[in-house]
Amino acid sequence: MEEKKPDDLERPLECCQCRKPIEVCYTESVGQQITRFGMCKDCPVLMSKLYGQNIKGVQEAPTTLCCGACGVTLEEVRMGSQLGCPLCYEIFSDEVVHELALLEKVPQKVTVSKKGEPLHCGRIPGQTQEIDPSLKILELQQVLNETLKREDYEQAARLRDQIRAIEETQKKGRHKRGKRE
Amino acid sequence: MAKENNPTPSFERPWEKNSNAIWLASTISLYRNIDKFHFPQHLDKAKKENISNLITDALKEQPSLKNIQVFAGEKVSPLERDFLMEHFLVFDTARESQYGRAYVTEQTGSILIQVNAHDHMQLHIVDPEGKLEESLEKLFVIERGVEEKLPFAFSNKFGYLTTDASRCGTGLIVESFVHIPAIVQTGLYEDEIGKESVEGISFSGLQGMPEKLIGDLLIIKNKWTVGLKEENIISSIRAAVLRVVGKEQSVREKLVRDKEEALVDKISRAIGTLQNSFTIDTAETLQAISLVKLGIELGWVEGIPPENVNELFFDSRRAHLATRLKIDLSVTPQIHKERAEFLRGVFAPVKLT
Repeated sequence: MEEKKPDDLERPLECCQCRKPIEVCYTESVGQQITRFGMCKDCPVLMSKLYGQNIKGVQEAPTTLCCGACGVTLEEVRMGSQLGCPLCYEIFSDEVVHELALLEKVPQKVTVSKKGEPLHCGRIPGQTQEIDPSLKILELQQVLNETLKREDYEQAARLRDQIRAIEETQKKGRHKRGKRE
Repeated sequence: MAKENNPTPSFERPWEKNSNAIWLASTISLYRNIDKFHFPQHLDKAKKENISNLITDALKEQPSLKNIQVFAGEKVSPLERDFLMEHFLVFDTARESQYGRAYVTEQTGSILIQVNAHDHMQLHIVDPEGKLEESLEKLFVIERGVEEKLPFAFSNKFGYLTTDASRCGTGLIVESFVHIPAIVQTGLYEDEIGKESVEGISFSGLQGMPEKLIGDLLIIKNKWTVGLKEENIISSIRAAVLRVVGKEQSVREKLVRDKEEALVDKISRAIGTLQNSFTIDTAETLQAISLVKLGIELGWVEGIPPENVNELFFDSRRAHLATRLKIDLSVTPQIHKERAEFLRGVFAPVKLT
């Protein structure tokens, strides 16, 4: 029996049906041929291969709702297919939120506390605000505290040096701006 | 980049001459779609070409992009495409037709813009210096320039709209490549990293699985693109990277104090593999290079500068090697023999101290 192997082992693996990360390796042996599939654990195709065609959720999914612009159906969205156009986000809004929450692709606190409200809280078109460099110090400080708890003093010293270096750069920047003003 | 010849890149190699010990590089990506158009998989060839022209014309007008080169998807060979993906540390999983797709590069060799892959425009920047904020700002400058001419698909609820809903919102993915051979080779991975669960962050190897780290390279990536601000994504990645770097440094310091014979043996065998192999694949190569790099960092190996070893993480991969050695992969699909010969030459002067 000949087994096909990928030429290079560097490519990321994803479900052959829907592109979610692989969690199940399914091997099918028919006669002399072995076929391997990588699938996500919720893959309806995997379910139908394992338990037959009448799997709940695969056959009973309503197929009526579809995007009027690109033709993507609700069933396809539930199968993990990609969306077809910006209008899909309006048509399948609830389903998209449900899928994101199910796959843990959105912080839990956002879906729980913001039901019906915008999920997005980042930049909006045209926004020019630069990222605040003081955030760097906050995160270094947080890692430093954890390092001290572990009593890893050498690493803590390195982190302190990094914090000092950023503070020095900020001071110089403020000094320069002050002179210009 | 002509189809008949292997490409000679006319952009620089930003990761060249870096001697990073642990945090080797990061790739920051922004995913955007032009408003009012279907996403690429739902466009016919003519419309794809239309969008490709609109985007590349807008990119050509960006003052921050010097000497840009535009490669039409249908004229780029698989080798050339893989070369670009390896150079920019990008995993191209869009397997659809190359028609209407394009790849845009610029002089510094840091920025790649994929047109009509999964989304209309995927901006990537490779950053070997850990300057994540500055790198993201460079992408924003290009993004804002394009947006002035071509408004992006955006909704107040979902943010920037992407083909894959799990990338909507900020459309920002940050992947940091961290080299952790000391943790892996001393069997501490499961305790130090594997059990650690960081909210919104995923750990994986080059192949996408956390339990198999090819070349002891750990990829730290954000899981969430929506529900967070861009600065929070960046800061959570940096915090996760610094934690891993700290743990790796601690293990290395312990190894310097108590030289473990078992590890010296592994490194010595890795040198032997690189100096004597007759045929060798990418995974085995990266694993051996990883051990030699660890040996250099610990002061147990000499004969090759650390920056040259870092470059080999790129140069020994399939497309880079085929390009460097001018191998036609359609004639010689397996280049394992040529790789072994190349490595024998590079590692000839290397030895244990």
